[in-house]
Amino acid sequence: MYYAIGLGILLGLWERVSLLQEWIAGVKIIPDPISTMLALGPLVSKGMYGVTLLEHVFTSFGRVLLGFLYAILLAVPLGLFLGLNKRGRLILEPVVDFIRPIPPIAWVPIAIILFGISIISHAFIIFIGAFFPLLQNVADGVRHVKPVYRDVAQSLGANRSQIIWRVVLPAIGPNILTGAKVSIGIGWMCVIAAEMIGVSDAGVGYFINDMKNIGNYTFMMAGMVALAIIGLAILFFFYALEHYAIKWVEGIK
Amino acid sequence: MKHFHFQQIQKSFSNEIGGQVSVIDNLTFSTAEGEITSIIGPSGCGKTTFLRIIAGFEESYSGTVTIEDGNTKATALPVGTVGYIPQEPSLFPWYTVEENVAFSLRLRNVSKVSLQQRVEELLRMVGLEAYRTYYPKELSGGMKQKVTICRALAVPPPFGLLLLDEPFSALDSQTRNALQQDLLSIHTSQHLTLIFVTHNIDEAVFISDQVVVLSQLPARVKNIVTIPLPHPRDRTSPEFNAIRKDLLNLGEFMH
Ligand SMILES: Nc1ncnc2c1ncn2[C@@H]1O[C@H](COP(=O)(O)OP(=O)(O)O)[C@@H](O)[C@H]1O
Ligand SMILES: [Mg+2]
Repeated sequence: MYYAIGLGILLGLWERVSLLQEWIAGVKIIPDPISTMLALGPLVSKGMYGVTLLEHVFTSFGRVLLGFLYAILLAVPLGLFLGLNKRGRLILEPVVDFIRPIPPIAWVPIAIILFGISIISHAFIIFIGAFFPLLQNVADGVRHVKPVYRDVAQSLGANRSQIIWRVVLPAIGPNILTGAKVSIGIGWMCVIAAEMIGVSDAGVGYFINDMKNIGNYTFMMAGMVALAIIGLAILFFFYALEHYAIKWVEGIK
Repeated sequence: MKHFHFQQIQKSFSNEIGGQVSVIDNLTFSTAEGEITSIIGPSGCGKTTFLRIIAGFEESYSGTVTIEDGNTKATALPVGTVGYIPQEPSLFPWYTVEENVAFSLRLRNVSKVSLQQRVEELLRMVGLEAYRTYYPKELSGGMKQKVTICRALAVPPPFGLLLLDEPFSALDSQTRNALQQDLLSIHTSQHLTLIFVTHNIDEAVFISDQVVVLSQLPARVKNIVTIPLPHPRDRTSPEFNAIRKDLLNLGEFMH
């Protein structure tokens, strides 16, 4: 209910801004919400230059997913290692501190040199963006597992690997999810930026930039709305995942 | 008949400035199979440290822990051979009641049928069979402690020794009294020897055969009071109160 009111206010503001801009400049550059929404229909069904908006979405999404999966596969074991092993942490900390501040987009040239213009080069940039927040969350989570859980597990007869699988991993479930949420957001940012600066000829970022270049601002805006819708869908996906995977956490019903 | 002997236990921790702080100083007492021993003493005097030594968690200590069974003697109890209920809440919040209780059974690949049977039997014993699928966050404090006890007993500790570190201290007095009763009946039905750390003199007198009174840091045995009263005990009887008074005098530093 409040959600609907909020959305209504947003659309109203957008409409005003669009009108105001038209009144000042004499020509309409910022499309109004209604024509943007109406543009979504044909964009989804017929598309532009024979490529539908959905196809662009899938292209971008596939890239994000691939980079994200690699990030999870590497960050979780490495985070576990760093959280459990103090010496390992001390050695790897400077490495991480050095690489992390480099914005993922700055890796674009290297990605193109290494992998050309392909799904791999995109996934690589997303991987760079998604990896560090995941690693950080997992390692912090491991360090904050209450020692009493390891103690009782041990007194109940668990060995080291059983403690990792049955105590540490489930205990950091919420940290993994938080890291994943942050990572996938960053992954989206990276993919759209990479597509916009011309690492490719497909994807939502490419589409938005292309529509800007040919002056079709309505379609450009529709591309942005598509991004908003995907963002919401991801948010709800994680919401559902929390209720299913970590329903034991205090405060999640 | 087994006997557990704790002899001249000493333990010190190193502090921040590199010195040694003696926490337990020459702690000696014995208990026989089937007995309930309470340990009371001011907070910070080393009670938890002592239980952790018996449970096998502390490596550097001096003195001996011996189990004497007829003519055979074994020293030190490795981690995993003693039932241990720590002072902090320790149920795994990510597991249901059933999964918590089954934890040690799963580690030992017990067949599904006997696992189910054992879990059922234990939960029935504490009246929680209807809560198998609940998560700890959905249980009251008293229920959580009952489940924690069940979990510690799922695979019976090999020497029947169960250590409890102030298990009921966070509960209101009614629940606390009820759980003391429950613990007594579990003690009998599961053939256990209990070492029970508490702050509460009434609790110590209600459940134990002997009460070991510890001094302030570093812990030494100040006195050992045996309680010959038969069970069930009446908290309002003159005998009960006489022992309580003795202990209050001995432990006047406590509150
Ligand atoms: N790992 C440790 N390192 C240093 N000091 C410790 C450690 N564990 C306990 N202590 C100290 O030992 C003393 C006894 O602690 P503890 O056994 O927890 O007491 P109690 O259970 O009787 O309240 C305290 O002064 C505490 O600060
Ligand atoms: Mg303590």
